[in-house]
Amino acid sequence: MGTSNRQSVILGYDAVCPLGTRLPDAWEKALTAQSGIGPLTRFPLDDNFPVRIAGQVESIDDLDYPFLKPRERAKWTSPIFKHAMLTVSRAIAQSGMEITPEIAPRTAITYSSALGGLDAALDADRRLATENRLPKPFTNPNACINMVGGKVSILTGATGPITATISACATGATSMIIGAMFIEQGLCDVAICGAVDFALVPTIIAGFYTMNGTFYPKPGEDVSPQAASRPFSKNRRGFVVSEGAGAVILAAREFAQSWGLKYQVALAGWGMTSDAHHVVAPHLPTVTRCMELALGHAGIAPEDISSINAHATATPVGDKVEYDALSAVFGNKIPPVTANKSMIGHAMGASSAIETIFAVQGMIDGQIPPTINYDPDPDMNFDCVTGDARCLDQPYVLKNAFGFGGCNACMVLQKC
Amino acid sequence: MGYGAATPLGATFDLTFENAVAGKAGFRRITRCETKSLSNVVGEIPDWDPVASGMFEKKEAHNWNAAFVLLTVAVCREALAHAGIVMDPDIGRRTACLIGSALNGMDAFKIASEKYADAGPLRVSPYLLPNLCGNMPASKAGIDLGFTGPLFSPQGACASGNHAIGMGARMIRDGDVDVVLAGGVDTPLVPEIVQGFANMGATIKVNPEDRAYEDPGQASRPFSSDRKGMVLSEGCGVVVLAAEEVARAHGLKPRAEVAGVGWTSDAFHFTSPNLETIVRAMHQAIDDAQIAPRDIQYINAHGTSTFKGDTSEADCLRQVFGHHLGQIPVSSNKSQLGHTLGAAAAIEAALSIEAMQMGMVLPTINHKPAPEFDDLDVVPDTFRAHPHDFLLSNAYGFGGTNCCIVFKGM
Repeated sequence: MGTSNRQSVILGYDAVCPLGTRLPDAWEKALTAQSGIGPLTRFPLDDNFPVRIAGQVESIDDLDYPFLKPRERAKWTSPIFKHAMLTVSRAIAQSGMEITPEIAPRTAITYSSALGGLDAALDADRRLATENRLPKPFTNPNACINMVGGKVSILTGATGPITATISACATGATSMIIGAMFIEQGLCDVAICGAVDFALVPTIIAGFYTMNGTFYPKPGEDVSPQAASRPFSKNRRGFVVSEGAGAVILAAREFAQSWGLKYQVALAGWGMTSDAHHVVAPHLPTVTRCMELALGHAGIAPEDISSINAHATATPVGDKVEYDALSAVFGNKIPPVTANKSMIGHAMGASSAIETIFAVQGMIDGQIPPTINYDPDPDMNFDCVTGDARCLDQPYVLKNAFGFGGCNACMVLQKC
Repeated sequence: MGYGAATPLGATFDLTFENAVAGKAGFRRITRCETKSLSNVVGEIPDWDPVASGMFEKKEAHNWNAAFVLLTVAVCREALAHAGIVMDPDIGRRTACLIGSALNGMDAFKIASEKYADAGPLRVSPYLLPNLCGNMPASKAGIDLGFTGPLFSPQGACASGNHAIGMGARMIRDGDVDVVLAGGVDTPLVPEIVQGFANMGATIKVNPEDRAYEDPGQASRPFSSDRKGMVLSEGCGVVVLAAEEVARAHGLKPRAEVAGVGWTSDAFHFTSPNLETIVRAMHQAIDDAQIAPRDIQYINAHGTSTFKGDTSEADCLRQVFGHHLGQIPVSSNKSQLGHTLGAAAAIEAALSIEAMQMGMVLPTINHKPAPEFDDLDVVPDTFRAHPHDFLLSNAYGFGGTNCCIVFKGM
């Protein structure tokens, strides 16, 4: 797509994740190889509950925002709403842009969530089943995933196209791609993108366990939570479910220029494919094609990519297929790769939004945060950034995201 | 190019259309679950059984216990066949599948939560997460039918189907893909949701004195004086879009063109509509089609049968169409289908296009005239012969999402 006027540039971004509720703190911890994984405390754990750890986000309730007032929180019980609104408010503040009545109709919202407000539905279910009490009136709005964008629209005043595109664990990346697509098509000038997921509810965690996706301790084994998420390592044993949210404000390059707004990174290209293969296992040909489409759309060659922010969840099959796809695209010259999930776990749909923000911050700072807990797998020979953060100028970064059901989304980020 | 549907009027598009033309309603007292709510008249797909359909193995149906998954696979299959498209790897990689939903695999979540409560965490189905995630109906359709292009679930509550059609049409126009399966699906008939809508005051409570008490078929009555709320329904609709040159190359028969799309959000309230942004969405769709409001010859209303919603929609129509409005038939398929939430817009698009092909418009049944809608021609009770080339299909969703589409007949 080159550097056309309708290309999307990134005006602002913000994230909350297990490394911190303030992005600069979380970024500092990422650069110093810290883990955000700890004990799972969101609900009481019986002795027979198989999963014991998670990546939890610290409370934001003491922050001074109108949407964090106790009354608002009582209606919108699912944590997805307040974290969506927090990240969006901060990202817009950072962009230096104001959503005036003139700009509002030209501002789209694609902020989404993979799993939405399930906690509200679970709560309604329990009330009905155990106490025979009716659901709260806000149950259905809480459970409707597009309501996240609806709340963002009410918060910001944006009245352009609105949708919430779900692609499981690739939802954050897909939301940016759809936002950029709207901008490219001239449907809007600005897009509020991102994703939020707070999926630490008992049924979900149990489901991840029984499908053999998530890390769990072997009998009698005492593993430090911080050492559990091990993308690309030979002893990787599944992902650690975590919480988080990330917001990214995209705008047409010409819009940013005419309003004198600063930007340092552009979304230069993207690709989307589906697997038509298996419910959870990824598929090499379509994952490979997705990366190739993103490079082609950006109009660059594989050797132009300076680093890769991997999807890498730490499942045995998933990481191997991603490595094989990288090998197919880059041959034996795979650029430095980092896997943020080693530190923040897997925040479902939000993960690719948060990781994209890390990738963008890394391009601006000339840094790549390391993959922690890394113990090389002899079957995967490549340059995995490990140990300390690495200083590297990165004109182009490839961000991968792959979701259950075979939804693949890859983006090429370009330093401006 | 083609379409498929499963609705309270029938498990296929053809049955649905036939019954819609016959002026029938698809409502009955709920059988999918038990509820003490008075909102117990709903729209259920008659005779939908994944195993009996012969399309799925028993085990498959057991694993995919979120009803929206296999329902979507069946309707996608029907839609491709109707369009005359035979999937092969070449078309498959240029085929996108965008199936929206409002409530997703809530039923599977409920089953899993009950299992958890009864038998502990280790008995939660390993298929829970796949069942739950909004993209899975499209993903499972991809696995069964073999397409590998872009795939995601556009969620726009009750406007989801139009989101899919709007995005899909633009992806084709930009050359990203050649074929798009665009649609929506919802299977919301679980106690929490039925009760949740009742508590919001959105669905009709059928009291003994109501005319729907004896005849459930009369529960949904958009634009009638005694409308009392929507009827919650299950359904799925899929429209096949294709690039013109691809249609020509494969000898496919085009039925309509997506001529214009208008899309806004309210920034207002999570359930109350915002008139200004709804009006803007209609204007955008008409402008995008490069026509004027008076060129629209039929309006497929959102018309949910809620008291306030229908009044607001009529106000918006007056603002957009002015004194021409009286000359344009306006009908609501929800009088016959109820509100299939995320599926509604796609089903209604398919019905409107088929009717345009036949030179007719479908009716608004159960009609009792309301003075406030004197200026509206709602095509009461029976279909009407009405040749037309441009129609406007409206969809608005909770959370303030408005998506309107202009279709041009071919």
